[in-house]
Amino acid sequence: METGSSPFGNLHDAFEQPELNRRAGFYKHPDEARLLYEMKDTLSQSDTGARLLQLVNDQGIKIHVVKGTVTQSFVDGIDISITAAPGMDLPEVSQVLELGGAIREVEQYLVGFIVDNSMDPLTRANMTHAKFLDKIVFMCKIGSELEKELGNLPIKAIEAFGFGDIYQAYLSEAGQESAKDVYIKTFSEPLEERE
Amino acid sequence: MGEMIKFIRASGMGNLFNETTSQAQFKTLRFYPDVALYRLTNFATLPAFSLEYLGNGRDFVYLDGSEEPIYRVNQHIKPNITEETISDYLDFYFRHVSTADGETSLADEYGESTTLEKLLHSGAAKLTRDPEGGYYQVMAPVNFAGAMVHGVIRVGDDGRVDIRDNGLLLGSGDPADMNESRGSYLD
Repeated sequence: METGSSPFGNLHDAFEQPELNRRAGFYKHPDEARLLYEMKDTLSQSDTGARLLQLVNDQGIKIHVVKGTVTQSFVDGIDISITAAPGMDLPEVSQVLELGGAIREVEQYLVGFIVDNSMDPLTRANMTHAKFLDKIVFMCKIGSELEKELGNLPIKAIEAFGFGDIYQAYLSEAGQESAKDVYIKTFSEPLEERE
Repeated sequence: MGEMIKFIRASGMGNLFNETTSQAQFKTLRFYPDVALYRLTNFATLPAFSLEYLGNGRDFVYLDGSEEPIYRVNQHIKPNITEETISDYLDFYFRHVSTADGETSLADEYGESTTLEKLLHSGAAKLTRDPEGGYYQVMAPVNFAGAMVHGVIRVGDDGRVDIRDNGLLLGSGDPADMNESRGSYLD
């Protein structure tokens, strides 16, 4: 049995080349077009979302919907990958907010707000957190703008992300400055205390 | 990790991970002697982006949230489903399979996700074996689509999982079998 560098068994024989080729499109969500249409439609109902969608059109930002169990996104330059459960054909509000946040990340990239691996660790950490806070604030902004259309669904989605306190701080008079303080407090706590 | 990223790149998703900012972890699984669970995480952004795979260190199958990749691996590498491993197998299954209605999980008395092992220990679940049918049957509370239901779960020797509750069928089992088991574990 050929195992190569594997400490386990011979899975390679079970997944020969034809199987590998079939996997090429394996990540893509079967309802990508519909999900994207619906996500954009909802996002466009907020002023901030509409502006970000204009950026998608103007800059040719590519958005891929990837099958997955957890709502998350990944931005690589002007490419966005966002996850959706395999059987899903209508997006959840959390995905609309995640998409808005991801487009904002592309905007960060386009204006040169980029974390470089050659930066010293402290600067890199500072910038990474600043980018993340900026993304969360945009998600909160979109969420608050969608409340009129979607009721309490956006706040529920924001709470499920773990950003409920930041959202309340954002809505307060102190706005973004207050959100920053809550962000620092939230992400300074050990993981188990955040849940 | 390089091999894993190379493999993922070949499947067209290489832009999600790179060797500088990513980390690969693996965990052995009691019910798959020849396959392990791999998690690849990119820490370049916050929150970190993770995907999980079944693999042997050289070949990997993306766990996409459907049953399909698990069943495809099971066709080639038969899972070792026993009384000792079924709790781990179900835990793994529930963590990696979700429906359009959301995640499904075994539930404790407060509706929180839990394991079969804990439910069996507390007496809230019942595990039986049908040697002729070639499956284990679990009767336990299940969280489904935000509601707690009386679940009847069958786990075949081939690793296939059928989950049923009062009239609702998830999976491909025979609905005619539902009535005989409905609610019986609470009697």
